[in-house]
Amino acid sequence: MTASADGVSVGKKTAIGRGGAASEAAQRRRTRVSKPGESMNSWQSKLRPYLFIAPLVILSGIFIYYCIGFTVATSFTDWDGISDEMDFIGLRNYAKLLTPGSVFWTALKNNIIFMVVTVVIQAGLGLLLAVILKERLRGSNVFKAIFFMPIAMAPVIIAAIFRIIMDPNVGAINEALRFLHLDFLAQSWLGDPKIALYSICAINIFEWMGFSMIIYYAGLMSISEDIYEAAKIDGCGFWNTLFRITIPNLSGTTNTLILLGIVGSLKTFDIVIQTTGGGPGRSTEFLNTYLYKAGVQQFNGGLSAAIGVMVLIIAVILSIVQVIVNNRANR
Amino acid sequence: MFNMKKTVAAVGALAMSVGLLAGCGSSSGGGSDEGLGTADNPVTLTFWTWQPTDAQWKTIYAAFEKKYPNIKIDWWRTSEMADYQKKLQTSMAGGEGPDVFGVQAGSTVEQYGRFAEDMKDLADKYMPGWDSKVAEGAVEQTTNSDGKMVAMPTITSGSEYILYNKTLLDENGVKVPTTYDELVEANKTLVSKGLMPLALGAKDGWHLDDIFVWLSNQYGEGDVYKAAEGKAKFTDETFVKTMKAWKQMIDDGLFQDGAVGTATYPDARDNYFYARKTAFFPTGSWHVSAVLPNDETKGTAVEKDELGMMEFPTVGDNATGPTTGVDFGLAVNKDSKKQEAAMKFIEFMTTGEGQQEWINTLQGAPVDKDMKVEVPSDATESAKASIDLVTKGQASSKLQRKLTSQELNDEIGVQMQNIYTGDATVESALKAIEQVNESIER
Repeated sequence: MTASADGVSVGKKTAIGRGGAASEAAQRRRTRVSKPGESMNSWQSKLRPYLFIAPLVILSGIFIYYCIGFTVATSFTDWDGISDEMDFIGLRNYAKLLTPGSVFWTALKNNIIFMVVTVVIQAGLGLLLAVILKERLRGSNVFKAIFFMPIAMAPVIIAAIFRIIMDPNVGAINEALRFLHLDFLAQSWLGDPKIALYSICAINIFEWMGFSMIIYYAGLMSISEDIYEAAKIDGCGFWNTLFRITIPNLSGTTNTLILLGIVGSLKTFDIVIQTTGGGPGRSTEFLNTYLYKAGVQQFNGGLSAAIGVMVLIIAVILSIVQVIVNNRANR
Repeated sequence: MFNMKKTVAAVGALAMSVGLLAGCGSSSGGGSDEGLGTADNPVTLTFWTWQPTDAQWKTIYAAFEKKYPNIKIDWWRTSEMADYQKKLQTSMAGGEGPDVFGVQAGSTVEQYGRFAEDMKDLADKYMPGWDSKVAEGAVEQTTNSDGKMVAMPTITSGSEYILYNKTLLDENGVKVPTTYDELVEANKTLVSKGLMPLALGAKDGWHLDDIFVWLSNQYGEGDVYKAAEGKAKFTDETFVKTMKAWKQMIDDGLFQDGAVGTATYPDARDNYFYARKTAFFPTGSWHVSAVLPNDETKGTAVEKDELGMMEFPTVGDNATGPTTGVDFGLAVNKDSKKQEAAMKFIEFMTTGEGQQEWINTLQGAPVDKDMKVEVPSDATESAKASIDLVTKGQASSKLQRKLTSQELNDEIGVQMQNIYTGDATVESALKAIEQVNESIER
């Protein structure tokens, strides 16, 4: 026991030398001396923190980082997604993606249009709703619940319902337009390549507008009433208050929503695959529907992985840009 | 001691996380076959598939259990082919596939071929005389490019057919058309009376591929298969004529507004045809089941109507008739230790009572050359004629329904949509298809 205790104390001295904080080391030594069975516990106490973070590190390591690594490695192969054969083909998958006029560019363009349209309109409408509902109108809680409800619905159900509503021949939208003698406005909402992408944007906005509203509403609650009172006394109208007080004070919330919107739009898949499936032609092909088709339907795991890597790169770039812009604005 | 407890807790947490991952391991096959079991100690097979439907399986399995009380089947099904493939793909890659799984002629035969035991060897061993009963054309379609028979074909189906509502046609004084011109005329008459044109689900790439293969054979029989193998070009005359014909069909007003945004199922079928908004629904031979009283039309507007099925009239130069394909085949996992039992099930489904039960549901035409659909005696005249037409058409067809490359299939679908919407010309569409065709490694 004694011998081993000495051994520990020597080891401890080395550790102290490395750590350099003398007073802290002295305190540690005091604690140690006062406890029996210290020698046995010394390696354990060093190991303990690692054991506690081990589950997370192992799980995220395997399920996230290993998968990312595997995807990157796969993207340089011709793997079909199921076999054991995997041949290295260099950058051929990326070359195919980046060829001018390829499906990838069409999908990227659609993703960007979708991102800009949905992020801007969702934030705008969400803010407008939050501001209106904050005015404590009669029944505002009911409206809040109604606007928030789509978020609680499964996207697959929303898409299925919109597919029926947007049907060009028997759908509710066109039937209503015809009833109002506005036949010229009746469209093939999901079957016209010029409109289909915007129809999908509309569905997405329906689904997520309530989310922006609630986040903005929470942000509004944190703005002090004093500022509004001061503005009122200074004779500030609704629009002036909105643009000079509310919006600047909500810039943090807006940034969060933009970031979430960007990430969300890159992840968009379910609504598209359930409504247009990427068509007509490739007018609503998204990066993720393309990835799915390449990987699952065409058995092209390598190409699918390369699309995944491109999506990851785009997400990282957009996030960095967003953070830089945000920091500059806050300076 | 307190420290000790903390350490134990940490080790416990670690162990749990490792335990979570333990399920990811893969099992390996090999070893001896478990044989056929007994009624008291049955063998249980796992079987994954996307068809038959739940209701059809109930009947089939009841018959199977009666015949083989020594074999139980643990059945898993999803109706969506894509979902089925996703599950099979992941499990097979992880070495945890089922004993028996369904495949369709085309890309799945190629992709899952390596996980399947050679069906010819198995059948020779456990199903003597099978090759004189099962249609050769069907066997060809479940044999992969390496010459390995991957699966036993079970039922076949093909394109392109039209499901029509005889009652609705009669009400409007229109006869069932037999030629393309008659179809165009009938369509015009019905539209003028407020009905919708043919309800085409042109959102589905698979449906457009069916039409493309079927149509192109009318301009050059077999050319499409040569082109898909790289031995001809999709910019050739046959395909120019095919795409021009497709454009003509659109220009003739044959299909409803926004057809490229409409799925065949459920939209075109349920919202248009079963809702009695159109008298015609282009589809495949499998849908002949709707001509008999069935669960699908029950409760819809056409429940009491007389429905029939006709071949889509010839549009092109030659009447080459419908295509056919193995819609379903059964493969045995090469790692399975229950191959003998699996083959009993496959025999039952191919040349046994299971085949009879299944073809009676009209889900597909038989692969057993001696098997006939048992049509109920109270079936309508249209129904009897339709079933006869489809069974004969499928048995005599030599044209394969599907091309093997899914990437090529997808591109054909996309370009046919582009022609529909005016976003591509016949020339640009075919050029794009040929470009994809040339990029495929063979």
